[in-house]
Amino acid sequence: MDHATAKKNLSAYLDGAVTPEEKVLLEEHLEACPECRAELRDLAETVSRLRSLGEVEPPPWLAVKVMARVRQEAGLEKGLFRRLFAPFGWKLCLAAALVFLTVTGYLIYRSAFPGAGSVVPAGRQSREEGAGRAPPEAVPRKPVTGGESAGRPSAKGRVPPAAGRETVKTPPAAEPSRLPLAGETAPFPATPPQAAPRATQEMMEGSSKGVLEGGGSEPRMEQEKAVSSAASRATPLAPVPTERIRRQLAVDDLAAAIRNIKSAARRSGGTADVIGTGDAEGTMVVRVDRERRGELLERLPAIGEVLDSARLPTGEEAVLHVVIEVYEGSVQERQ
Amino acid sequence: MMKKGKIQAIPDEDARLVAACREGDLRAFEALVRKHQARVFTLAFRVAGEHEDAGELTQDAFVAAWRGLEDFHGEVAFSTWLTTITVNLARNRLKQLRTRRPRERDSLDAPVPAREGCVAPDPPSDVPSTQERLEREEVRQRMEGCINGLEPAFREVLVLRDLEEYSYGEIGAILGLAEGTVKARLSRARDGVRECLKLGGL
Repeated sequence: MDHATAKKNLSAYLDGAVTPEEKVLLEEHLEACPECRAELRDLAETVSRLRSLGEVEPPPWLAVKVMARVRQEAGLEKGLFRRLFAPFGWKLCLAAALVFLTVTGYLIYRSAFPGAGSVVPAGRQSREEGAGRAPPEAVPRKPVTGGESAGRPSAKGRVPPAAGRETVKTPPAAEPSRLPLAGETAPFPATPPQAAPRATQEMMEGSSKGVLEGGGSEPRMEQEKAVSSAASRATPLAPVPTERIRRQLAVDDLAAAIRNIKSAARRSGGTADVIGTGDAEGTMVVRVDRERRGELLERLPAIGEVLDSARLPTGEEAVLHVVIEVYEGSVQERQ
Repeated sequence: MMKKGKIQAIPDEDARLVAACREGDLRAFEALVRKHQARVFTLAFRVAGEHEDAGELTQDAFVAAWRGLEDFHGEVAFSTWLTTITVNLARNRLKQLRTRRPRERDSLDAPVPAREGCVAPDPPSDVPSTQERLEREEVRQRMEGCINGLEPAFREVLVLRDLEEYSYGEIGAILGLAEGTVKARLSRARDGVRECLKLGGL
């Protein structure tokens, strides 16, 4: 094997990626060529150094950010309904849908024929309870908080938990058509339009809960389960920045600039993290509330010269990359 | 013969998590993210050579993986598939950067990078370091500078082989290259790093 070919094959030889014939020829050449032997040694050392480099520690917020974006994606793709019910499988979804349809049908039937059926007294009773016990503003909330006691009058329910709750909410929904009670409606003009959607939400909660474990515990906790607790935990976090602004600062003292950025972020009500530094270069992420973004941006020129197409780095000074993530709502709260 | 990729020890676990993800289980995906994030981040960092992008690239890679899960049928290990996504994203990002700032890259013929390149993700510690630690840190920085100085086409092969320890065949599949090309590029890339380290006195 000639010298040039031998040199080209050294790398593959190290990996055992040469054919047996090539191997024999190369080893013959190595015997006779001290230069190639030295090069092979160097190369082996280089490779072993490269292999010892190891992994770079990712920033601690990375997984949270990834999952926030994935959740957003999943939400767009699959829709609220599937997110709510996917964890329980199709049988439950079907059951929930049936309960929902039954109840909706029943509601429509009730509002179309207000005088019919045995539930009228129940409706009236709960309305009286509400009017008698609570001040007017408290009435719309009544169905949500007082489900247990108010549900009692209609114990004859065919679909136990859902129907029990539902009868309580019937009156507001049916209100407009029930003229005899018009006098009672007067103090609560806003009740019907608000109560109706709430009733629907409550019914869905109630139905999934009923099939899941027969009810009994806090409805709110059940709903969290339904949304899958991971997803619901993310909601208060809302860690997706609404905007990402990049700035490069030319600075003389990198460490001082990093300190200054941190303090500028603090003074703007945000936070700052260093994600990488070298001799002449550093990268930071600054998270700031939307309202105070301008304030932060104004502080940058005091820390270093802001680079752009008109002012490129000279190579003499250090460059600090600042990624400003703008969030809706307070950054401090989420930390 | 050749070593396989590092994260292929428990492919079954990944396969199980992937199956759960397909059912819409976000927790399973989160488990995959937590398991692979360091590797993907490192890969993005090494291939793109721009630390400011590594975090974003990693996010993009996982989001792309989530989107593409339906089309992933386990022909290769999940980790290899994720590597392919990451490398391709990094390549595209580099292409964009290059068209925007063509003057920036150094070529293989001049393997010493103008700058040291971006380095450690961990901020410099206030605790005084020992001489040995400083030296090791210096070597690492120099090495990273040398890797960054390579042309992207050579750097990606080097990273996949010597840092991620994929086989020539796997690298060919990931990058869409013939094995011969992988072999040739790797040889040149290693030579480049070797020369670069020598110039730096290592």
